[in-house]
Amino acid sequence: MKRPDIASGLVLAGLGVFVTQQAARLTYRDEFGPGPGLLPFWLGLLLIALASCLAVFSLRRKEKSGEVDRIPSTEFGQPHRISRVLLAWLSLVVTVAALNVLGFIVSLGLLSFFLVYVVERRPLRNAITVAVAIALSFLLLFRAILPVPLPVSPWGF
Amino acid sequence: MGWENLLLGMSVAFTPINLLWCFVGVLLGTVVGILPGLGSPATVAMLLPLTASMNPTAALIMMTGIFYGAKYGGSTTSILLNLPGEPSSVVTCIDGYQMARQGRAGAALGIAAIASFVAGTLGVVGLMLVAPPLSRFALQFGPPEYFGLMVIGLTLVVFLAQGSLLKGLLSCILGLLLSIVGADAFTAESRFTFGQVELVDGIDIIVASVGIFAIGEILMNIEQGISTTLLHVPRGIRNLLPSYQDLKDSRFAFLNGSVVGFLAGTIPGGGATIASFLAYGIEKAVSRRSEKFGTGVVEGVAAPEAANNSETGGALVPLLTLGIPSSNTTAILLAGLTVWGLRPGPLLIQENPGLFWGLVASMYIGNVMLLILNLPLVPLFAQIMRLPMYVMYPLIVGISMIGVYSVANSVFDLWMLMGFGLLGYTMRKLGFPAAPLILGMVLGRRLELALRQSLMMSQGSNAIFFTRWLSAFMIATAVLLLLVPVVRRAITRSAVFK
Repeated sequence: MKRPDIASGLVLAGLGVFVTQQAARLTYRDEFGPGPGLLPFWLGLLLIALASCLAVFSLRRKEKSGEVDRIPSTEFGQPHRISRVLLAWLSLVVTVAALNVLGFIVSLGLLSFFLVYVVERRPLRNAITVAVAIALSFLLLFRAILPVPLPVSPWGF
Repeated sequence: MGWENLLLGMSVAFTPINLLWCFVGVLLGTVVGILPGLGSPATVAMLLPLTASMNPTAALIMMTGIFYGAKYGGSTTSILLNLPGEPSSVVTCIDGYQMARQGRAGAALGIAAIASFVAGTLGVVGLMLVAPPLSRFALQFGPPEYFGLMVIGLTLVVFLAQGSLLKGLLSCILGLLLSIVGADAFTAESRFTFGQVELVDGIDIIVASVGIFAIGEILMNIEQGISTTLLHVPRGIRNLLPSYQDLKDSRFAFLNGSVVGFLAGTIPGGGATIASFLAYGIEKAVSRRSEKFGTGVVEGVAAPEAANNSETGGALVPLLTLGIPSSNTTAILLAGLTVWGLRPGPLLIQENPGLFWGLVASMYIGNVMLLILNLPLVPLFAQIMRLPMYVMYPLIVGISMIGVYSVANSVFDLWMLMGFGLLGYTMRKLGFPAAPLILGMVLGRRLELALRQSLMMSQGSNAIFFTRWLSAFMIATAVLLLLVPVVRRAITRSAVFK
């Protein structure tokens, strides 16, 4: 996994530069001792150093046999798989955006439908069943039985 | 400690009303522990006003039941859904969920329940035997000692980083940076809030851990196209409980977790989360199969679960002997002691022996109740895994959102949840381990606080960390822990060359 490591090293090094720059604007030391800028400044520098090492080592390193990679092996970069993930993630974001308009229960029901029907491409009947079942279950458990506060719409549900 | 005190406690705890309240407390605690975000501090705080008119012993028994009951429940969603129910159950996700993926969800749940029972009971024994002397020792902890403790915690990253140590360190640094977002504790200067008022109080660990572990896992499964049942659930109750070999493999993990958890609990600011990381790290360091940690080893569940349950007994030591709370929940319990007309402090036990010993006895009983409650429920919980993944996805998202929202009733936290979800997915894709990031978030603020307080005390001199024996001992221990993988590798290489 060389190219992604190089890219992630560069991105993290860039983040380190940003953090260090922001930390430099904070008080490094005041009359009482270390200030709020001390730790983030040094963490930023450490981030730059280690991220640069990652990028450089990845450029030089050969694949070692027996190097353990704990994440499931996936073909990184397959467009149709990544697009499914982004679609699913966007649906989560839209759900959060819709909370103040539709309330939690309705938003969750719509999200369930979308995930099952559009993302997972299950039959329409399955999607409707899952959406309704989950929305009703949450309504019963978290609104009726357990008085857990949930975001509600302007219409009170 | 005389046996007559324990008999007094038993006579108090075994009354029908106290048994009932003990049961209510542990049951409520289990439910609360399962739900992420709705932790024991919030539940105890919500119920406190309702207990004002209760008998103080019954009220304390119930509230403490919630405290340790939540520890039992927190592991359930960690194992089944990779969704930590409590911050102290984050570490259980690492091996617990992998065990579930291998069809051993029942064994993982069972070992978590047994570890919780063993360690919870040992924690009560510790509370009973060592409360006064240990609490006096904990008073010696000043900022340099806390700094030493945090440094020990940070060295655990070398054990939590699977595969690439460099990536583990980078994750940890990210976690440390995330922990300092918000207003500075000393000067109230805002750091990395970018004008967002909601970030002034910082980023809650629950938001980050649920996002990274639960939402990130869902996105990963969606990419892999897993829509049917992911987790194989064996049939038959025998297959759903830990085997004799599992128990044998876990015996040292029970002990390790019990001791670490209890000691961490006695230290104000120690906490079950740090204890669970410490116990996991130590277990991995000394295990003969340390390379298998993270792939679903039973000790990886037993050690952190033991630690987070034993911590309960430890946390009650400073509370009941000195009137000093060591965690959020015990702080609320301290308020409860006042509400119930008691005077927290060194004389509490002498003035109210029935209260203290009744509580101790009820904790023995409560642990038995929890074991009886949780073990038979293992097959039921395991059946949840028969649901197809396309049903689990919205279910997990819904529970995650509720849990996170309930932290501060803030929709902003839900935005952050989705952000952390994407981060968790990206980290998994790129091979960056998540546990060190969470560790960094847990330790960051406390490390900085301890560091700056220490340097203020010493007027800028770093020698303070080495002139105080306890701090120096802890830093030396941290250095030794860092050397363990190096020594182990050297021994392995010399064995190979021979």
